[in-house]
Amino acid sequence: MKRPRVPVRLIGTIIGAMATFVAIMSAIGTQASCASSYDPNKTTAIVAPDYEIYKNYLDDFLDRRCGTLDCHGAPGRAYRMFGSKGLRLPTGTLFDVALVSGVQPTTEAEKRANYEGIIALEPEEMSRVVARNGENPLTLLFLRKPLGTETGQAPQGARAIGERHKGGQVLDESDPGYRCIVAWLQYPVKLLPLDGAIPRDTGTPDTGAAPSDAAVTGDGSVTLGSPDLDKYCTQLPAYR
Amino acid sequence: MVRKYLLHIALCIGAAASSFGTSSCINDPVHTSAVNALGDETPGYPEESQYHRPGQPCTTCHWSQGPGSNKFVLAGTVFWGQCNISDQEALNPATVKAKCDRQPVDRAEVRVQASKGGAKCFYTNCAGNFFVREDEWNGLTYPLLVSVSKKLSTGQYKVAKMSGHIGREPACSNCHDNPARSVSPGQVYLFEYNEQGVLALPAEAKALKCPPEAPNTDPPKECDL
Repeated sequence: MKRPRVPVRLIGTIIGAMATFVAIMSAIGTQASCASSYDPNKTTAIVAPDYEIYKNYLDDFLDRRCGTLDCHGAPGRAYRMFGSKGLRLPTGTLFDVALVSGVQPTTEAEKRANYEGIIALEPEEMSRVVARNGENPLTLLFLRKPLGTETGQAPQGARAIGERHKGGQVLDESDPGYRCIVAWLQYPVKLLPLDGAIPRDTGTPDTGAAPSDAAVTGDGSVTLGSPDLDKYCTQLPAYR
Repeated sequence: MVRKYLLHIALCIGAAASSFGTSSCINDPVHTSAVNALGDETPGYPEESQYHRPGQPCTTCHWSQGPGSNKFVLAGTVFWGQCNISDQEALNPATVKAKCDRQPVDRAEVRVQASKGGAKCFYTNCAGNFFVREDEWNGLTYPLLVSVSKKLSTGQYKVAKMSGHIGREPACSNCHDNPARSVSPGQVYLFEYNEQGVLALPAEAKALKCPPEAPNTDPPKECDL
């Protein structure tokens, strides 16, 4: 019986293919090894929206609307919320029974963590939007998601502006909550001479007071200095 | 000739890889692990019945992937009392069990208001369990508002309302498990500790024969709104 002969040309092709594969993998490895190492002191300068308005008007609204334990109050979410009725901020105790879901009121540290959580989703895009006084806010995933449906398809007769959202559509453009968020992004920030960076909070206690720029009008109501903030954000405590 | 064999080998590898991919969808290791983590049946309750595993996340098994035979769109268990434990005690599962195990509430009324699909009321059975099969509430749409109540022997009602809403989770205990801590408000319960730190439960909060001895002594499944 005669054994079939393997053509020399085919062996050459196989060896050539293997060599190409090794070369590609090697190149990928070289590229990866050239990536910069982690620098714990490196920071990203951002232009952040106003914290006082967020803390006094938006945090409670977003916590009620989005922060339940089965939605954005779950530890694994990219946009993760802490609050009284949902997930609590870890306190460093052994089993985290110091702050219990549903018991103590939301703390200042939790509101701060929620505020930073929104910014940290897309810090550069957030900076762009806020630096342009809230122009084109729908470039932010944070606003496109709650406008989107579970399938990603717009409801019949509606404009498709949202992005697929597993929790379904929880806001629409006429919602006072949505309008307050947009007004918040439009609110002029105070840029400090630190290359545009807003310094981190130093742990100011939560007094529950209105933002520092707010003024009390003759009839006793609070004005925030922007018609949309006055119109929509001040409605939120009663509308959640 | 060899080229022909190479083609066959490539096809075989492709088919094998494809079958591995398919099996990973059926035998989802995450789901299997979640089912296995439930452990053995709860002693004292009949296995594989409507009374089994009170307080466990029903939809881990009663969902599209099984192995439970029915898919539930909402299910849970109601207990009599709250569980308060210290940080140190929470580290020991035996202590958590000893201090937090409560009797389930028989014939509690679980009222559910859906964002679409109306509202319904369900009774718990003697194991404190209630469950809604997929075909029992067509059009149920989350989010939901839920309250639990129980008519006591004194004629008074004890009511507990969820302060928030349920976004999309069908099993109560996936959020409500013991002990109460940063990620959970504790099991669904009717009575809290009073100012003196005492859990003053009513006379009804005692061990029941479950399932009931006489047939058909369980309440009807749905109650009046």
